[in-house]
Amino acid sequence: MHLDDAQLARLVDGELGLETGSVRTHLAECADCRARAELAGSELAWLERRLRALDHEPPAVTAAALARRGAVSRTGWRWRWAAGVVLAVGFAGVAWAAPGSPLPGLVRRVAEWVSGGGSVTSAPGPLPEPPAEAGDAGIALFPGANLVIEFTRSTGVGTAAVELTEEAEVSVRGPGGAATFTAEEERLLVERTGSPAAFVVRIPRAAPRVEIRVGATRLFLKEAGRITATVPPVDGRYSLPLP
Amino acid sequence: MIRELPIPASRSGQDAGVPESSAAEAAFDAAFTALFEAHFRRLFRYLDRLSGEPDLAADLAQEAYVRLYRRGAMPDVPQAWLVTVALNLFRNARASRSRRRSLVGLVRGELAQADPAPAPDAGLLAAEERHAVRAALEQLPERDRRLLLLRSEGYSYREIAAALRLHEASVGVFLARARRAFRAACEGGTHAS
Repeated sequence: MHLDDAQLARLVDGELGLETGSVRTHLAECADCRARAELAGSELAWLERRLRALDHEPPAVTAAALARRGAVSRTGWRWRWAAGVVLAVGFAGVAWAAPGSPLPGLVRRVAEWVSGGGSVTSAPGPLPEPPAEAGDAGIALFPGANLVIEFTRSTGVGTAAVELTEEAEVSVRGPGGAATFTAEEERLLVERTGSPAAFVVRIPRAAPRVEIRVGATRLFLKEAGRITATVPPVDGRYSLPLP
Repeated sequence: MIRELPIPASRSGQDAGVPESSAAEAAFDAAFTALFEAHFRRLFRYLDRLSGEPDLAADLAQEAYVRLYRRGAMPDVPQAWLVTVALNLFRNARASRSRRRSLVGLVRGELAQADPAPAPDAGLLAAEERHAVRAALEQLPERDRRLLLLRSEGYSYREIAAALRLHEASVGVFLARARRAFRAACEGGTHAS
């Protein structure tokens, strides 16, 4: 049995690994394969010479300069988050102060219920269930080259409806109080609080790679135009059950 | 080198004027510098050969390292991570620059050398050689081209497999095929050696 082309490639590339002994032994005994190995080596040298014709001088840049740029952009990223928080607080204030807003009354009733006061108009009981409609809370961010959306496991039943959009940002929305959202580099963590919740995840068609997981279990993967999911799409939407 | 920089508040968690960073950050900075010194040139050369645009290749290689620094932690296979990020950036750049006719178009240097102004014979021959090699590369499928160029820059089979999402055991097979195809493309072209 002669060496195959892949073995010859690994030989000339120094990638034989555990095969090294057996291949060397064979070469010592087989003149045909020795000749093929020499030819492969000379062809590799020829190829390298040809490719060098394309080369240009690399830019004059230092690690320190790139580190500085990385540090600055990270600072910018944090400033954007800070600005987002300020805006969210501002919107909450407006919602609170708007004439006819139900927020003050709702908060007062919840506070009274928590403190066990007797002036609650309705009977004490569990807090209202989060609305079935998703959209009360969420986050949006640019997906970059790779983004992993990770839901934590929960005792409550949950679903994530995944849609592909023409938008630029990935967004994850769910009922208010059903989860907290934490964005990190290449990762969006959705920590579920335990109540039943239906999330909506919108992913740009142009996003290079977006993955949805629950813990270590992958439920959905979009790589360029290819999609792998645990459930088939219905009307272009993937309804992923969240364990 | 990096530790001499003023540490921004976002990395150190302290005032920018305080030059101390945690041991982990210092270790990351040292690893980043070592990685840059060892591999930046070959990442640039790979992207230059792949794109045919040295300016774009320089931008992409630098941006990949900037993103690694911003990440703040080394990935499992850093060289492969850098290649993957750079290739994604390249794809985005290519998509947003629809005026470019193909992946391996003319390099700017070639355009300059195509100028009728007096040029040494060696320069013209080099330009012809570049045209021939690029034309041969252009005939290869995308995966074969990337494989061939990554390997020629010394990336290991493991790094290539990680960057191109292949099985490591398949890299040798694909490489052998890509080399044959490149040889055939060169011999089939006007400028075969």
